[in-house]
Amino acid sequence: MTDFAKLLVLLVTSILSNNFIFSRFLGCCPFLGVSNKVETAAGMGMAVTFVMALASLFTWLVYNFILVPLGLEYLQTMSFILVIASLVQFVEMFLKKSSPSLYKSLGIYLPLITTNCAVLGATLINIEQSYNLLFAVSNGVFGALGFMLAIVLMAGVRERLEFSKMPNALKGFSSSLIIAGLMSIAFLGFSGIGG
Amino acid sequence: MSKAGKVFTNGLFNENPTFRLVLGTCPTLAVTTQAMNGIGMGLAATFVLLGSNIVISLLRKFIPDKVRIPAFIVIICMFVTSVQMLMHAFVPELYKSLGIFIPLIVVNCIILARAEAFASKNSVLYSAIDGLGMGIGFTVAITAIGAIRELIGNGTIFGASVFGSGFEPMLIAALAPGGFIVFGLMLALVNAVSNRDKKDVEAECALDEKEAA
Amino acid sequence: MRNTLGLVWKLLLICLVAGLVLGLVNEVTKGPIEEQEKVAADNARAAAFPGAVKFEPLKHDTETVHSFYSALDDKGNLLGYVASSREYGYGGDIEVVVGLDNKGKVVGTVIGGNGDFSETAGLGAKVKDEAFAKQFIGMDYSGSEVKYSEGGGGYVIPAGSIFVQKADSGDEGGIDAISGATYSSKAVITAFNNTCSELYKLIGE
Repeated sequence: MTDFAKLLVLLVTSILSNNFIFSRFLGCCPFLGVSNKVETAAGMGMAVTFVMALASLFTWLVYNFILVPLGLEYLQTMSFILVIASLVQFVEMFLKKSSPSLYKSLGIYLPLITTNCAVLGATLINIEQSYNLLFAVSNGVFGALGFMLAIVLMAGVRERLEFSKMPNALKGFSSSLIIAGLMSIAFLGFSGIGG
Repeated sequence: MSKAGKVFTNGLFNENPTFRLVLGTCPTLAVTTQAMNGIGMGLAATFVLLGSNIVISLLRKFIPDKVRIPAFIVIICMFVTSVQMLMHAFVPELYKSLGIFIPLIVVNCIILARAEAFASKNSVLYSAIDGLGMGIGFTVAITAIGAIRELIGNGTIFGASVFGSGFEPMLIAALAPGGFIVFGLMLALVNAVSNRDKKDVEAECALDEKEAA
Repeated sequence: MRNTLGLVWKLLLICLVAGLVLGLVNEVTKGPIEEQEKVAADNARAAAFPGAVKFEPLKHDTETVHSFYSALDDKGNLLGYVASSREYGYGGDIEVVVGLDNKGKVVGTVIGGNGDFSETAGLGAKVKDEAFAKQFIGMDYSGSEVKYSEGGGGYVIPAGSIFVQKADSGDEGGIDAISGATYSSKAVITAFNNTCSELYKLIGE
């Protein structure tokens, strides 16, 4: 396969069949927590995409140009989480100064992203699969797009669900999880796509 | 009940991290394809919780308030990476099946939440007990989910065949959708069984925290 | 300003101590981890070449195929060769270890034993199942042609061109792909073909 074909496969698989939420279970906390409204879900999705692209870039550089030459691969998790945390902080400050309108729409989600395991997960997968820089950043962006698709779809369902009656025990997380399960079955139909 | 007992059982029942607080959903869903994975993940998280709670409690006067979150994360990370290397060295099979979810214990909200809500405000002894209680609560919960998924999806529990060879397992339970659905239904069950409603629990938690402080 | 400096040095101190602790743990676990990985690789070789008791490393690495070993019996007689190769499947690389006896017959394969194996559970991950792996066993790589012998009555297909087919399609000589996981199946077969053709060069020597 040429690199271009591989990238296309990566795009299709990370959005549909290897979706971060529905098949890899990365980023479930915000998926369940911030999926009440479509608008907020989309905001969260965009913030994650932004951070994940940057995080993939910087963690890849840190790993290959600092940790590997020094033989400190075992500090991977710690350095990655610090990179992500400071990146989030930096993006927040930068947006606040340069683009107040964007900050207004994304700002409140940024602090939540540090503990979003999708971001750390994506950066760890990049290293585990020994992607090159192009693939690492693409993996981050595509994965985040898959996350965004999942969380926006979920919010769409939950907006409607607010007006329907259901047993008390099922209210809240319980019903959300079952809905996510049904959606995941639908996404299972995509497996094998691109092959 | 003594305070220590209360702190301990709090993590098991009232504030069970999985079924009550619904924290740490990623590992709960991802590694519970088998009961054994649940135990492995649970014990790894328990070790991290215990260690980080003790250290953070010890350092609670040293760590400045403004940078407490990064400081907590570094400390948690230290334990997680240690666990990762130890598991890689001594239980390689388990290490392989838990995969990327071992380093991801770092961003498991249970651990940071306990550091922030409990360990940074309480003495070392109680923090240790809290970490142990929460960890065991988490372990029991995900092992139960793992056992159910393994039973339905593979016809076995802890690798031992239960229904005999005539049983055609429902693969879907071991696949991703099964994780969501089994967890969702168990959550509903726990909600239905516990006779107190949410408000009572919240009031009690607030009280507990006051006591603790 | 002094306040900020206070924050920074405290945080740095914590990082430093954490780093030192990890360095220590790393020193302690480094040995056992290497040992484990060696044992895992040894086990894979033993599974790919049943009957061999000793393996000796060979220098024959190519761009795609690596870890060449000669398989010896207890008296030191040469039985055949083992090597492995990786190929990008669906979610990542799949490693295939192949054992070829000195008559050019495939005696065993170990598929997907790599730590970063990440094919979809229940679909692509089925390439690890025995049912899939055993299709390769008994194939004859002698001469310039691959003969698919076991149970198939000796179909002859050109070397290096073992192909995949839909399960139960009835075509002769191909490997039955895992349904729904063509990419994974194809990757395994590519890796298998690459490894076999390199191994066969060793036999020729």
